[in-house]
Amino acid sequence: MSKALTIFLGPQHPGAPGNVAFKLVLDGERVVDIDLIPGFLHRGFEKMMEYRRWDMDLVMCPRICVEDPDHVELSYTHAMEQIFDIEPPEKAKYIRVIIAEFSRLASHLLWMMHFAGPIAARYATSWAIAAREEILKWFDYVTGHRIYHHYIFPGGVRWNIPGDFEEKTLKVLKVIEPLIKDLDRGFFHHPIFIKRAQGVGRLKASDAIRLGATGPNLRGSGVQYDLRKSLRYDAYGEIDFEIPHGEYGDAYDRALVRLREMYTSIYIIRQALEKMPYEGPYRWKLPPTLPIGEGIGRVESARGEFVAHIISAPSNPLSRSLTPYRIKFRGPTMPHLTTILKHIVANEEITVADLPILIGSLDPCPPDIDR
Amino acid sequence: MAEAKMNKRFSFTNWVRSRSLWMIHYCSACGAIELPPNMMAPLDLERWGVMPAPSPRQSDVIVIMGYVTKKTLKVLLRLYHQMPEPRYVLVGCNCPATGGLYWDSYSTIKAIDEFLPVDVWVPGCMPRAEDWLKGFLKLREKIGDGRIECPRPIEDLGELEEWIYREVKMREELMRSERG
Amino acid sequence: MSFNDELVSLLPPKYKGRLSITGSNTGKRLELYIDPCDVRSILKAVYDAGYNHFIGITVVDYPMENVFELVYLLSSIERNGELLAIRTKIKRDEPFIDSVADIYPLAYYQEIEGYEFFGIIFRGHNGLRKWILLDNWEGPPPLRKDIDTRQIVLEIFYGGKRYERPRQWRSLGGYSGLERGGENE
Repeated sequence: MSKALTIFLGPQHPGAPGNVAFKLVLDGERVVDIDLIPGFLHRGFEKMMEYRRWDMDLVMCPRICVEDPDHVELSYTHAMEQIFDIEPPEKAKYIRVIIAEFSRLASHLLWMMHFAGPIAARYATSWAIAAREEILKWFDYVTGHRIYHHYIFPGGVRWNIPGDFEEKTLKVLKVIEPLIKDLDRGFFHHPIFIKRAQGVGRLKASDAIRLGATGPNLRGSGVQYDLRKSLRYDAYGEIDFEIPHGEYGDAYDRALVRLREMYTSIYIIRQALEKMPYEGPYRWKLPPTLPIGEGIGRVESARGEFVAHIISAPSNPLSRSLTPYRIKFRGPTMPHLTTILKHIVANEEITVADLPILIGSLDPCPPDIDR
Repeated sequence: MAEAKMNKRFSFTNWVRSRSLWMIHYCSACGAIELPPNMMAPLDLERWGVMPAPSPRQSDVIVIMGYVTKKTLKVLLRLYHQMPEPRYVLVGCNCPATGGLYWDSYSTIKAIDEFLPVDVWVPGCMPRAEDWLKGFLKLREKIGDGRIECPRPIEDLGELEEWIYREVKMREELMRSERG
Repeated sequence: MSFNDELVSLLPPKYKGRLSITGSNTGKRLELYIDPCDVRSILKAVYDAGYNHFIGITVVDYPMENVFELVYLLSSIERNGELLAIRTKIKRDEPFIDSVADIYPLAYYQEIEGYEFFGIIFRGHNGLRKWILLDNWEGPPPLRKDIDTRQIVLEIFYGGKRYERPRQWRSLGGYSGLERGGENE
């Protein structure tokens, strides 16, 4: 006979995935209900973006999802290009693919830190962060900044790539691949990790679709759905790759999907480097005023589907405007931490010790919810 | 130890405190992305004695890693008042210093200086991993040379929640009424 | 993309001819304009037709025409990620519309956002509250076009003018702290 106990997994906690709070209702050791308390990272992006010009808005975009900033820029750029009704040049499409895949790799390596850290596998964290350093140095070499690149711009990419781009990129891949293979053998097939992660947080395919899951969480349950293959945006139509997916839908499958995505990313980057045209324009210049229109940009970010919905309308009957009328972002973390977590906790036996593995395997990025 | 002895205000406690700073494990905002390279592979902060501690009762320094919203400010003030003396504050990124990129946001605090006594500022958006390291080293120097007075004189607060609400909201009222 | 016959057959006869294809690249979508009283029946029909992946609700404020426009974004996984946008307009003075949170579970949280940022009341929703803006903002819903948040922030923090440093009542530490002898490195 035990009473229900309400505790807070508050914002300051080594097991919280960033600056969010959860309200847990416990019955003994088992978690009965979980509620999300967001708002610690709310800056009011959608209102601030209505006061700035459309090219200044791009500077604010990567700060919406800190761990995977290029896909936010990419979705904003797709929506803007639909409003302007242009297509970027071929060279820019391949460069965008390479940048997006490196950003996905870096984000998965940072996910390793949030996932392996709370279960005290610190060796895997160190290897993952060491591999991520190589990728951040590569970003510094191509775009000028390590984290917030502002490189993908409506019309193409912002600057041309340097002369020794191909050999430097292949060198970075040569350094990273053995580290990922070490992680594969040393962590993902470790018996302690398998025992802790298998069977935790099972999510069936039909429930995942109904609750709005996207990205590796959906693919871990067996659904073969990837926006890179369905919508074939940028240069993904000319590159062939396989979509990794799991079958059972527990935390172990979701972790394995992300590991296989890392290998797939390296494969895609190698193909894009071969097929890219090295001569040609890299950006079309766009006029400073926005035409009237509407654009929806959907991309497959490291965590799922990122949607940017931009509406450009005149704010008074006489002007063409410089600023967009309304921008709405929907990040992939909103369904993962609200509906899916509630569903898993209500239907499966989740104890307090399983909670870091469960939240880590869903890979949340808290600024996505609050913007 | 030789160069420390030449300083007039050398004290053994300050020297020892500066060599073992425990920070609260709280990734409060953007700048937290450049702290993993500091904690782990390339720039190992543990060689300088810095370790993330899980609870504020066992830590010396609170690191504010980026913009501070009004909701986070409540948490930060609570954490700061739970830390035992001597305690230090290290602030990074442009946003808590002068407002930064979110200068016209309705929910961020533009100057954290009014609420917490700051010891070291690390500028940038965002500061590179080496800049965070330099911030920690500067804090170490300042403590070791005795340039920070601890405990700091702070006014008598009374109930913590009331004080937070009083400070933030009444300040807004005063500024609004002052403008007319 | 072509018209979805299953979807057309499940719609009530009033809307059968009103589907249209717009957009390009990743924004290519089917669009449907409906009246706000039919929201629940249309969304139920659309769910049965296979569009069961909910993306979001975009609310746009048009103060000149005195309407709020809501755009429900849905996608279908079995039809390879096809996007469907359902648009309605509600009056700005009486912003009431039915809630679809029992058909699509994710709409529960998107409707909380519509309430706290715009002030739209969803009938049948039992949890409308300030969720993200809880301690962050006191006042009218901030994303409406007649609330000028930039001017409010300038008056509170900057003394009313642009291009000024934020006004501080006091400075605990920092440049006016306990350092002596100009040790500002």
